[in-house]
Amino acid sequence: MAPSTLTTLISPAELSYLRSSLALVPPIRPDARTPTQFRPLVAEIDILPSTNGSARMVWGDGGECVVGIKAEVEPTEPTSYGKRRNWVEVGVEVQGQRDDDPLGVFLGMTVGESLLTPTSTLTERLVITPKFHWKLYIDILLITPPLSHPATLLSLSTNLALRSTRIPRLISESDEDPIFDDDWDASIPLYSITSQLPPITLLVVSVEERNIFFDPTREELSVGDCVLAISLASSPAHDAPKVIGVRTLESGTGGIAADAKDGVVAASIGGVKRRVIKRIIKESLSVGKEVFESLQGVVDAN
Amino acid sequence: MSRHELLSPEGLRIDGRRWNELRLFEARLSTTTAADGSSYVEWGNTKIICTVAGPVEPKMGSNRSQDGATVVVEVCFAAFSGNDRKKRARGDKRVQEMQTALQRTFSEAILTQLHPRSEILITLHILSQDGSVLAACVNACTLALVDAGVPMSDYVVACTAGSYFVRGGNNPEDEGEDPLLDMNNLEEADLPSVTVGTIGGGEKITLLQLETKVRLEKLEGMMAVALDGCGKLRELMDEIVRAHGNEVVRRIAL
Amino acid sequence: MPISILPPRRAHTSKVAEFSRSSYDDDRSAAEEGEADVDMEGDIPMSGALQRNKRGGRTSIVTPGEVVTDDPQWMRGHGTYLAVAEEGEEVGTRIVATVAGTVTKVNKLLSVKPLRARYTPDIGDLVVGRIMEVQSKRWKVDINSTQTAHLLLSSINLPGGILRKRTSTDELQIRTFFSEGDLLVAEVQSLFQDGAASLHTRSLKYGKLRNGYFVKVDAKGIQRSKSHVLTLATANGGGEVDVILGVNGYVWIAKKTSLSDGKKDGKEVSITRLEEEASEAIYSSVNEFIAPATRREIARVGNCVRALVRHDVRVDEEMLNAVYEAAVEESMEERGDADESLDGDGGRRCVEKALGLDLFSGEFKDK
Repeated sequence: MAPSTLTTLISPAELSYLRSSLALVPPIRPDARTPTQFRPLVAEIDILPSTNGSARMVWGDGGECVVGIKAEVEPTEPTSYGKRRNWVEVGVEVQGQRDDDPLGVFLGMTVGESLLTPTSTLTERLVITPKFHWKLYIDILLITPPLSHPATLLSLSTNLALRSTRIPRLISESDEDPIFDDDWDASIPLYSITSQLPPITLLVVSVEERNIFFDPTREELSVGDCVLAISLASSPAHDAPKVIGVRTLESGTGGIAADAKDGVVAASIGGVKRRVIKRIIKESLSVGKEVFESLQGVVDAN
Repeated sequence: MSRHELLSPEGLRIDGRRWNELRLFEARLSTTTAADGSSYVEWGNTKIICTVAGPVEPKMGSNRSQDGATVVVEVCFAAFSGNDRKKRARGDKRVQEMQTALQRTFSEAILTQLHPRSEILITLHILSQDGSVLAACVNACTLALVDAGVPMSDYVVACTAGSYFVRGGNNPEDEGEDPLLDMNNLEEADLPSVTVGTIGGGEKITLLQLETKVRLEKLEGMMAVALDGCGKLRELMDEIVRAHGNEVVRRIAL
Repeated sequence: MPISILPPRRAHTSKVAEFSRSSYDDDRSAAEEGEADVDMEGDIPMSGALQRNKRGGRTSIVTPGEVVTDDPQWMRGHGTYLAVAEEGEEVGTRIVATVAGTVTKVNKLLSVKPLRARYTPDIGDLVVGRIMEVQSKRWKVDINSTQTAHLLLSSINLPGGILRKRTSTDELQIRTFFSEGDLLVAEVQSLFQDGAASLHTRSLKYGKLRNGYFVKVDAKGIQRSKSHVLTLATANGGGEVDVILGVNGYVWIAKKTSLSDGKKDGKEVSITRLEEEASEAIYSSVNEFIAPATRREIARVGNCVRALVRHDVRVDEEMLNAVYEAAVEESMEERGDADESLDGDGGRRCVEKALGLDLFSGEFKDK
């Protein structure tokens, strides 16, 4: 179960105003964005030459994230097909928090697991020779303390960092100990044009049955009925992405004022209907497609 | 790495510098808008992001001092910052030593009595290490504190210097020790080096750290070289601050 | 496009430092030749350190450790310190800057205003704050400053018929007035010795905030001015919207209600009748009904405030009205890339229209 969203101090009057605005048909978000509109993001890739791949992203609320990827050669254990999951290690460091902080662990697992789904071909590309493979270390640094839930920020930054990752080219024969070409220009990108792209995770909030919001602010997260982290993978043909993971986050509807007599909206009881989740997933596919296209634009520009 | 290659007979170091040349020092202020103050420093291949929060209300009561602000420093080495990927534990001794040194240095330079009962939180993220890390941290902190508007008596500037021992071999006249300014990773691994931090880039030393052993009479030479480097760095940092400041003033005046 | 990813903006990099390194010596020699400096206003001339740096702009900045002047007749204000006397001097007369900022001279007081700093409270400031903690006889209020402010139980209006003494019942029921997370508008009554503010809400126009939306901006964008409570007549049937600009950077945008302007029946309430007129309703957290049209306009006003601050323009009644009108015009034009959130180019266009000039080059646009 995901850790609860970060504690925010917010007054019952504000919560009620937000909730009633988001529950309208059509809904009105406090900053007048459309339900699928993201705040402007800033991103750059390949900023750390000492790593195999790197990216930096600044989110709409000012949160900043730097991802660095390093690949190291490891010997392959003979009976290890099942242990291939260990070939990718994800570390998340959130400023001001301890290593075993639940938020950091949850974010690391979200990113790591979505990379290693059964349909992912990533581990095959990490094989060097039958006896050696690459171990990929993905280290995510959150420079600012989390201002709103950083799942999307981290996953998009990791996606870009992976897209910029290059692996040295092998020049030895397959039986020998691996030797690589020193020329960095000869290196091979980890994600080529034909391979399936690394996944992304989007945060989605729903209010009442029909209103679904992407890139939620901290306050929107507090008043939502249901908050989901949806992981999507895309194929190079760029048709609709596929859903590879859905995780629930604790929503904040418990915080509404109990003063139900004068029109303050009371929290809904007992979870979220199945058809709402279906609707959320359907929306995520189309928004996810646009996000992938936008990320492609960043990679192409570099 | 063989000693000979660190300083060639013509006086060129591994990266082509002479003994008294600084690496390229570049920095930017206000790189993280969400923080009260921030800076990004690139010194050679050492890259550091520094953010400052404060002065703010202290979270822990123990940091609330009647006499002045409490300075708290946190240093994070990114796992990808070195040549090999290495994740450091929080309680790493070397990291703690750096944190304490930085905290003491800046508690002296910052006019803490102007903000009693508050704390100033400085966080450093080291993205890439290529020598002179502590000195680069000091410089990044100074720039971030200036960006945050925290009152200081002057810039705190730090620089490193090392000592290259030339063995005479057949000719005893060739033997000697040359001080080297601004050490990179390879030089720091092999040679003794000293980090000197000053308030104002002049003669007021506030931080002095020596790694490994060196002969006492050589130390003064190394310190002199490092102090000279501090002076040059202060000018560089001042220009960066002025350029940034003039840009900000220009935008507000519109 | 619902999502836009931009490359980072490189405002000033080391290229500028390189340029200035080469021209540094040029300027120094120019100043030494005695070239006249701009904007002296007949004041006592500054010392050489400041002269050297007047390079093109009318104002230029000082940096920490820089000697601003050594003329003994100046008194030192904020942002400076008096350097210790050196050999040969009896008393130190050199005033040294402690922050990077612009020099301001008021009568004989010399101070340095930092480029960026947290809000520091001054007596009489109107601030919007959020309750962080409830203690036995007071609240701790977050006002985005270096320290949290205090609101004493004796500084608020208590509902009731007579001017009454705060009883222990009031203390026990302290959360019925303000609880954690509540937003309020108050005035800084006094400052404690360490600089922390003490607030009061003893007027009907202060108190708990409701019916609206909270925006946080950089405190720099909101300067102290005559009135901090503005009323905008909004378009599209939104009615009237109140905007409370806290000097600390916290802004509250709400639907205008009868209670919010501190008047009863159109007349100001005198201080002796304050307690009688204050009713239970002022501490209620329940919102009134707010029409969708009003909510939309409230969102638009919030975006206007944010856009103004983002482009370093002071937020005041005139500017806010101008940007709001520009925003309404933009949304009426029904462009294909309509972006109501005013975060990117849309916001810049509105601010430019309001200012009448091009933000990047600083030149005036032809209307």
